[in-house]
Amino acid sequence: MLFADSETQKLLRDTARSFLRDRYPWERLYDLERGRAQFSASDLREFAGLGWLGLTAPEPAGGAGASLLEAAVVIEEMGYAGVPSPMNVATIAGYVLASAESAEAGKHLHDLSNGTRLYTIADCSRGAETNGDPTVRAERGRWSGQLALVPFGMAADYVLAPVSADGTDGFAVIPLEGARREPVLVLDRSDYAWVEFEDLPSEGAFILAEGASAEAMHERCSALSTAFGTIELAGLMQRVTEMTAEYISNRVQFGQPIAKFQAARHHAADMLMQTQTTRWTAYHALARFEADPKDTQEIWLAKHWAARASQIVFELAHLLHGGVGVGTEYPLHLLTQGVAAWAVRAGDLNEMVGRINGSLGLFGARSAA
Amino acid sequence: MDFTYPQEVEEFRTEFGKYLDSVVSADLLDEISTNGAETAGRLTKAFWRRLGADGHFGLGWPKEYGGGGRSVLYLHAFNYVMMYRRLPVPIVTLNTVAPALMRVGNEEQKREYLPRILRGEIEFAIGYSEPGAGTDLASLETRAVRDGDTYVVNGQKVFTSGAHHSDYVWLAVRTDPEAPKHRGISLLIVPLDSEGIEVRPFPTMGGYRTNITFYDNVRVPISALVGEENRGWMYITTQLDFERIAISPIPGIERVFDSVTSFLRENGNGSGDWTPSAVARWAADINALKVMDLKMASMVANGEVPYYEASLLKVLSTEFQTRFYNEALQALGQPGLIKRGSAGELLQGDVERALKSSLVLLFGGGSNDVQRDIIATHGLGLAR
Repeated sequence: MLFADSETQKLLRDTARSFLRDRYPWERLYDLERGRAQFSASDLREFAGLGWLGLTAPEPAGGAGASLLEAAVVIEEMGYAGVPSPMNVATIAGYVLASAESAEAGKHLHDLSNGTRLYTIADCSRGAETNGDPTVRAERGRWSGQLALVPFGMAADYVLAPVSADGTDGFAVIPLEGARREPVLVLDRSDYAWVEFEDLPSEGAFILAEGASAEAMHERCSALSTAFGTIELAGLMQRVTEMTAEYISNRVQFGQPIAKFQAARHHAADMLMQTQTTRWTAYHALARFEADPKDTQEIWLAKHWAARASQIVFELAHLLHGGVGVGTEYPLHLLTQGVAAWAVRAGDLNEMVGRINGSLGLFGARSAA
Repeated sequence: MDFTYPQEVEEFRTEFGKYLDSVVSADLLDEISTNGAETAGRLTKAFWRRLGADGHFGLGWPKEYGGGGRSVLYLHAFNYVMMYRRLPVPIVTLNTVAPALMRVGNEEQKREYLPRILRGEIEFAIGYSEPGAGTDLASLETRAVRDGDTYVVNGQKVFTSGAHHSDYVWLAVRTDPEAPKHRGISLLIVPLDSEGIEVRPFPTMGGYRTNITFYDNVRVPISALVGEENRGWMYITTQLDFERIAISPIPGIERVFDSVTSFLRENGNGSGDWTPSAVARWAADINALKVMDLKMASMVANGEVPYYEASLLKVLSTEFQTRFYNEALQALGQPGLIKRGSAGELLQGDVERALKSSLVLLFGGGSNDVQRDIIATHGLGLAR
């Protein structure tokens, strides 16, 4: 057991850090936040060129066949850089497509890996559904229904979602062309869309799994979504903690840097404790999931920790930054807004408590996967 | 020990609520919603004049200044009802400037400003913080130099909230650079339309607009001095104690608690496994805050100035507030993150906005770490 990056992971991390620093300076993040720029096809091609989109896809499908941990390194760096990118959802889509083991899914995986098309996932968390039923239905070859809060739903070409196809529950890849889409503004201004399929022909859609295997696919999608979400959150928390440490080292009050005051030092130390623990529990959980996709309990435990830890980091960062931190001319908010949003996104505390208690066989709570 | 909340204050609270129902128009609410509670538009100013004319601004003021001479508990009830409804209150004018003028202003200043404040005709912004003087406020560097019958002011202030629609700035300046830093500060009343003042917006993440203000050879008559020259620090610190009580997040917290719990009541199945114990904890915490808030108000009503007690409530309530809004988002799930006006919004995006706006109070009115120092020193008598 080695709680550290492998050589490959180090290389990936260094590449991602310098690429994201160069291509996503604060000015660009401001443009994204204020809606003056959107994630585009050329950004997608750049990610594909770096091999990121197909990182975990098998080599025959144009991927690198790497582990989920490698993808997690890039996703963590996205969080660290404060870049709202579809790397997270595209990797989950790739994982789901690879698990479908069909020629049609393989073609999609190829398009995903080389950046020809952008794939996203509908919100996989249990809280997103109405009474656990899919909200998108296919009947006699036509799709209808709505998906709220589809990440990168305006830019994406396909969405992977639980569906009901002629009365059978399934998990499908559905083209977004022709669907009614509306941007949804959220707390951290990440790209989200409300999507409606209004009696669209099902041409181009493909059912990846049905019945019990669709349910299992949905569960894997949920677990991976929570694990990657927690890792992206850990990246954001790390950057916020570093920015805060730098700020208090330079901000002089009462004739000395405020980092000299014990109260400020202790707050900063608390931030690091919460952040490091979030990071390692999330990676540990992901490694276990990769070894056995049924082994999801640690993912729920890690997110439960992260949701609480991130609130502490959020609050202390703003307490220590004072007025400058809430001013929109200073970039801290570009990151702390992400911290607040990811604490809720990809599995909120209600879902985590239900799943954890279920895995412990307690309180009649919902059972874990 | 008497815990009785006066019946007549309770009645006032009910009556004042009915009064507001009759004078608050949909257009006014629309203006407040568009501008944010911190930017008083035309209708808001007219609303304040109406409140002033109807005697609501001077409830707790002594009769000699045209007030109602009633207990401070009325003022407490007034602030609560206004803030619960998210109606703007010219809080620093009423709670910081006016009490200070009554205590240390000269007769001419009292005649000049107090009646107009009471009628809701004029508003003040506070000019204390500077880029290099936040928590360490006493190191402020904005200078005022005597030149005959005038002061000439030069410098820069940050977080001059309301300066873009106020009439005056209540300005802390250094008048004796040679004196120890707490002893060379004075307070001036400076008209915001004076030549040499520039007001620049400083937008914040809650959508709240505050300002940076610049003073370039601004001349004011020496009659603008409040109280004695170089005694400003004492005036400032006393006012901050009042400010800590007046700027309470508790009514806003209760509003969000009420709307989140009614949402959960109507959508019971969505309350989930975590929410039930969280809601009970919020209720217990809010109850504790309300009791401590009443304790502060009763101290003021009995003629005491809460000092470390005000700090205690400030720390408890502001830290609870940020945690509560974060947790309320957990209870609402992802749809709670959606901004007002976007598809699928919940509770008009109120919680998302409240979370961002809550951050200012962690350090505004004195950083919570400094408050903890005050509590340790003055509450427990610990050596510094």
